[in-house]
Amino acid sequence: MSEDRTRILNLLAGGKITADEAERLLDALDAHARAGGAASAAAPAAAPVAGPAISGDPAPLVAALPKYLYVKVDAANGDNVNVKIPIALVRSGLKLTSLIPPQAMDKINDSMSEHGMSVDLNNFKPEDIDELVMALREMEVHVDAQNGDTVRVYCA
Amino acid sequence: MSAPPLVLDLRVVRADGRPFHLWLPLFLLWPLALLLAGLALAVAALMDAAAVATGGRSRHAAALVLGVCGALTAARGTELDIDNEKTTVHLTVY
Repeated sequence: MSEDRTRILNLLAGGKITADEAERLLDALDAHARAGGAASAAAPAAAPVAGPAISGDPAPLVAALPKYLYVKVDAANGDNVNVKIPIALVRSGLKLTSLIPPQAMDKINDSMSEHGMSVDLNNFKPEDIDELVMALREMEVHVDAQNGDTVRVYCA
Repeated sequence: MSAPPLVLDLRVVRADGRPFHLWLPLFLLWPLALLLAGLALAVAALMDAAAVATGGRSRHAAALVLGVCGALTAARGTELDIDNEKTTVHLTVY
C-alpha cells in the first residue's frame, strides 16, 4: 500500500475526514497514478520516477473541500437574506428524513406531488445520503429574475 | 462528531427602535442538554423495545433522538442574515 493511501486511511480512521472525503482523495490518487502510468508508458526512458501524488500532509486538500452551503437572496426591493449552513448540518438533516415514519412520509409525498414535485422520499436510503451530500458540494444555482432579484445557492 | 455549539449570537436592529443583542452561552447549557438527551434516549429505547415486543411499525425513536442530537451538534457555524429596510437580523452559532 502506498504512503499516500496509508495516510488517507489513517486520517479516515482518526475521524479527521469522512468516508466521502477519503473516497474522493483516493479517487484523485488513482487518477494521478493512472496519468503517471500513461505518461511513463509513452516515454519510458525520459519519464522520471513517479513521486507521491500528495506530498506532505493531505490535510490542506481536505480543508479545501467545501464545508458550508450558502444561500444568498438579493431582492430588487432591498431585502437581502444570507444563510450559511454547515454541510454537516445538511447531512444530519438528510439522515433525519430517513427516520420519518412511513405514515408521515406518505403524506409528505402526496403534498409534494400536489405541488409538482414527484419525489418519492420512501426511496431515500441512508446509504445515498453521503453521495447526495458529495454531489451537493459541486452544485451551484444562480437565478437572475427579470425584476432584479438574484438567488445563489452554492457550497464553499 | 464535531464539538457542539458554544455560543449563540443574535443581533436585531430595527430602524425605529433600540438594537437588541443576545449573546447566549450555550456551553453553560451542555450539562442540562446532556441530561435531557440521556432521559430522552432512555424513553426512546423503551418505546422501541415496546414497539418490537408488540410488533409495531415504527422502531426508530432512539435513532431519532440520536439524529436530533447530531443535528444540534452540527449546527455550529450556522449564520443567518436577514436585511430589509425596517429590520436587520444577524444570527450566528459559534
